[in-house]
Amino acid sequence: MPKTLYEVLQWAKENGEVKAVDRIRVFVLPNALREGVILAAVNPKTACSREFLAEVRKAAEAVVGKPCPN
Amino acid sequence: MSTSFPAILDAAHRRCFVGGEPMLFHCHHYNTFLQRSIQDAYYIESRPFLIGGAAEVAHAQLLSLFRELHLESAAERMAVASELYRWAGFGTFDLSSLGPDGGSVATTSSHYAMAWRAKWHGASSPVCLFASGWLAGAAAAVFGLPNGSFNVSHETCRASSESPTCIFELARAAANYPVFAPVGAGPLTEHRPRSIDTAPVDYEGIFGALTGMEIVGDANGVIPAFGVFLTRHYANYYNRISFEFLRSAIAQFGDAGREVVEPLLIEAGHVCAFNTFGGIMTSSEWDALIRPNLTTREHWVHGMTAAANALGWGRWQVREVSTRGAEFILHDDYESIGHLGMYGRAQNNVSYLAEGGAIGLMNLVYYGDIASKPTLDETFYDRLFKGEGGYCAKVERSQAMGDDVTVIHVRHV
Repeated sequence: MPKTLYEVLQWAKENGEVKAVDRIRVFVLPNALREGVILAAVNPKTACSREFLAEVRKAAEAVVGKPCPN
Repeated sequence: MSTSFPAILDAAHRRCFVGGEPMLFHCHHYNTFLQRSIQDAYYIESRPFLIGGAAEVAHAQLLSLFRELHLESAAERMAVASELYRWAGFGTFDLSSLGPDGGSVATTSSHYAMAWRAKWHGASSPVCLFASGWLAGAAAAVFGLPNGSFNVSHETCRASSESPTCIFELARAAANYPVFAPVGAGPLTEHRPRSIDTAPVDYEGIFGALTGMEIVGDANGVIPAFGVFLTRHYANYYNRISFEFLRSAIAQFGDAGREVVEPLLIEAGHVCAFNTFGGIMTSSEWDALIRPNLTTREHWVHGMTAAANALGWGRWQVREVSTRGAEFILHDDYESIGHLGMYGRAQNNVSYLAEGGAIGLMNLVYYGDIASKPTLDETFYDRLFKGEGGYCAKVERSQAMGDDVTVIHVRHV
């Protein structure tokens, strides 16, 4: 079950279309900049706020078209 | 099927003009992917320029055509406008319910709604924004008014509802979209094609054969060809919406905006190549006209590059083709010419469709083994491109930035 930013993006990669993460980057760009997170360079140690993680999860679900296991 | 308007082939520039507007082929995969990518950025107000870009080209084109054909009455003008819309594969429009104060138009055939249903089984909101803008621009031209004379709304769409029709309302009021200045052909150049040994691929013969084919809308304004729904779309529409999207993202977020937008514009080109190039290379027309001369994979790359010249995208050549990569040389690629005409010289290369297209072609031939006629569906696309491998590209020279041609180096990852 994806709990971290890295895991949510991995889930989207595995379950979504080829450029799923690029689409998520578009959805969450404003808050990614506020958080100082570069989604193209997320690794297992990348930290972010709970709010931003929730936003990325929501974007991932929209892109993949199904709920992200929680 | 003859038309009541001239479609002029400008072979020297690899263009087709109707009423002074360059028109080119693109498939429903590209049209939907591009619009969806733009609309994903909810914080960018894209709806106005998605509509305004269409009003711009429709108004400029039809004004020019009406002058050229000496059409004075609204009825004659409406007939030609409707025919052009159908011919281009955008669907059908009966404009007879419109007057100088506006009116309502409904259609059961609209390209974007059909495309959205075909590709994604529907949409969450109305998608016929191109049709909305085209209608507003066309109505202004029909009644001899300036572009921007009509406000347009589109609340009912076949893609986002159970309605059998898409409905558009026009009102004589301030435009709810930006009124862009049309640029027409743009600053085309004299081509100096590179001397390339393309034997046994006959570039000119393929260009002549493909541009001689009658690829136009049927009675419903649909062009089913090569496994996709084609449109004979406006180069300046694609340019306007792509560049407004990019410029808006950069204005709001600086380089971070560019870094997020550019990969999606390139991917739109890659999706387009996979489906349209792939569809062409697995077609009966390809088998009959082109395939008999191809004995190596390098010939396949040359064959499809020759065919791309008939799409209205500019002059495409390729050299140094091997499994390791290739160099694509483009004269007057439509994105560069569009940028020069609309915004002047660019600070960065803007040939996103071309870049994605060149990568897609190499991927199809060497990575996807298109010669074996695979089924070109999402499963195949995912299998090929979700893992490592395939090709990437770098745009080495850009006509939009002042170079004489655009050069794209594609190499194996």
